[in-house]
Amino acid sequence: MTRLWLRVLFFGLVVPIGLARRWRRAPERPETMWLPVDGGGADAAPKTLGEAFAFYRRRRGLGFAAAAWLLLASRPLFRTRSAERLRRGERISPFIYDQF
Amino acid sequence: MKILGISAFYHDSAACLVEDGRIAAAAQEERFTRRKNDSSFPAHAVRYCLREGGLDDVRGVDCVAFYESPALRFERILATFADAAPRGFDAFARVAPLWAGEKLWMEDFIRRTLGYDGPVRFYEHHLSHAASAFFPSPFAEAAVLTLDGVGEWATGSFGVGRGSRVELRRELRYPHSLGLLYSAFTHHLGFEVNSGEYKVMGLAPYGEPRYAETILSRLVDLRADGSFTLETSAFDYTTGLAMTGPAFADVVGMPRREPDAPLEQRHMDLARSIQEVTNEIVLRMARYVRSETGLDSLCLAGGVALNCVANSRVLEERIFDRVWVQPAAGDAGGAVGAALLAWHHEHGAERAPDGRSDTMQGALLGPSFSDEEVRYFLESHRIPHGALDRDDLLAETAELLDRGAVVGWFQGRMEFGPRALGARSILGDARSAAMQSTLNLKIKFRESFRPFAPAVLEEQAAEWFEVDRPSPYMLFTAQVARDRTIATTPEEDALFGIDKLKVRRSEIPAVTHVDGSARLQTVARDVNPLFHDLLRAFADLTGCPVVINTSFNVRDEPIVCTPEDAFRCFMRTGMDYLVLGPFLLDKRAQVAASVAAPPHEAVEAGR
Repeated sequence: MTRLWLRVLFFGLVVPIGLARRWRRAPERPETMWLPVDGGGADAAPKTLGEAFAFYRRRRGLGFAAAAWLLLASRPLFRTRSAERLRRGERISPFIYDQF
Repeated sequence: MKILGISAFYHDSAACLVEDGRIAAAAQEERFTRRKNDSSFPAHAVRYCLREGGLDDVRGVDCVAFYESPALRFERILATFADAAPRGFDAFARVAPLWAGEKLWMEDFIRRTLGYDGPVRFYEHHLSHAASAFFPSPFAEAAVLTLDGVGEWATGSFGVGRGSRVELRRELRYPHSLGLLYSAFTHHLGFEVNSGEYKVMGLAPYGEPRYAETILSRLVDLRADGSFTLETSAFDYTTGLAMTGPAFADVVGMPRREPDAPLEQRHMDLARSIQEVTNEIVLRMARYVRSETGLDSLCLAGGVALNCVANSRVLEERIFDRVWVQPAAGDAGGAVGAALLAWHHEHGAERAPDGRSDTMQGALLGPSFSDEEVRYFLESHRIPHGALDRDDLLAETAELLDRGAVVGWFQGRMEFGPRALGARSILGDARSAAMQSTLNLKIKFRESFRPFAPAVLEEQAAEWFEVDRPSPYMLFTAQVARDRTIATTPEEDALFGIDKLKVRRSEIPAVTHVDGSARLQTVARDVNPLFHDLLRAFADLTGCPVVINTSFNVRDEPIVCTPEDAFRCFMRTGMDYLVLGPFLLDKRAQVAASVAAPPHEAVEAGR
């Protein structure tokens, strides 16, 4: 059930956002990859779904915020097991850097 | 004012307590849980820090500072999955529940886990690294460069530290990451990501940089200012569950080495190549940062700053007059940075650097055990031991080292960061040609190609190494002094790969790498008087102020924390003697006593 819901979220929301972003992206080779520091919301730690939605809408637009909101709203589905995985310090994969 | 800094949930979770601006305690969770690179919430480390600060519980803490911004990190993760879609569902299915369930709601998690209701502050990952590099440094103002795998979006950044402020100016962003590039090669060479990177660095001198051109033409598009883009289609890390795959193997022309497969010349060449590319990137960045900031001192942090070969290249090129590297440069150090940010940025507290010494206290920030506690441990488990006064202990240990014994050395506060610096160390005679393989195979149970680091009296370092400044944290390499080296024959010069290791290259062969370098620690008396005096006793006895100093652990285990951990490690390895505070343990006496009652079983029962 959980995996099915994740599949719906991934293919129903994340994939379309990615395709739309790809459409807009222009190929280029900048002279430098040193970019100005983002700083937008570095200290943000949302406490509610509404705060999270507003944060991502401001930074990434409505589609992204909606995908984030739906995923985060699924918290009750994941919460118990997530807490346990965090407590154990479970790694996503032993073959990858911990970037997730 | 007491501030608790926390880094957690990636690798190397840690906690730090800053008390009125002074780093009172810092420790990594792995040392308590005995799980290498433990990423779980650092509950044990927090408890230790509170105890060290004289607090019964977390209610005495004025502020908790977390080392990164969960909201920005989650944004990057979701955007990355979107970019790579429709690939990446398996990784998404593992990652998304963790974020939705707990990780995004970090403030709530911290409050629930600690039972804390005071203020919680969040700082960007690279700002925490930058703060960990600048605030404890000896400098009043300095350029700051941070490089690691990735934090939120940034994979590297630079800025300026001035007085009690540190500000970042520019950053590199995911997926273009020097840390991830190095980790991809670490994975492809059959070592574990997040912990095997220093093995790649140790392997590099055996090879030739045959693949450097390939890396720079097909994997890394390097700009003049050191910034770069990675050819992400060649890597698997953005959405896969491994760093590299078939596309990467095609580029470098070899499949991933299986972890237990023999190391071949091509693996050494690949290690050398990525090290050369890393050096080049770091040098270009350092030059750019110097020109952008106009400052003559540099502070470094982030996991890449543990690459002492690249650090040393920055020094050798004289890009900056002075370079200081945070000893816990990886994510553990983020706990220190976050706590110091809260102290200086939120509370406006001033710094008073003296321009000479840092405030990391030799990185000796972890738990210590009194002589009485050690005695109780030994006696309650009926472990045979002798008690010596300070002078006798130093003389006896120096003599044992001179006789070729391997000695476990457990004294005072545990080190914070990945290096053993004379508090939880295994020591040996650096003059012995056989010591490197003895230590590697009988004590550390690890690959025989890896060199050991020397600890040397700071005041005599220049007599033995080509060095003109202290290196207290083993974060720089130096060549063994010319008049201490031994000329090699043409036959020896013609050797390849691991065979190079058999050649005696200096008066201290056990710490001399095949390229004549050593990853040295200079020991100053005002930082670690007991360890300094041991080196002095050894120098008085032998004329050599250098010993092997390697971490007190075996392969794949964290460095020992308690006397019990130390004793357990001592009994499981071929170590000859163990010095626990003022007590000396002889392995032969333990073996004799264990016939009646095996001490390690007694320890097990006493846990």
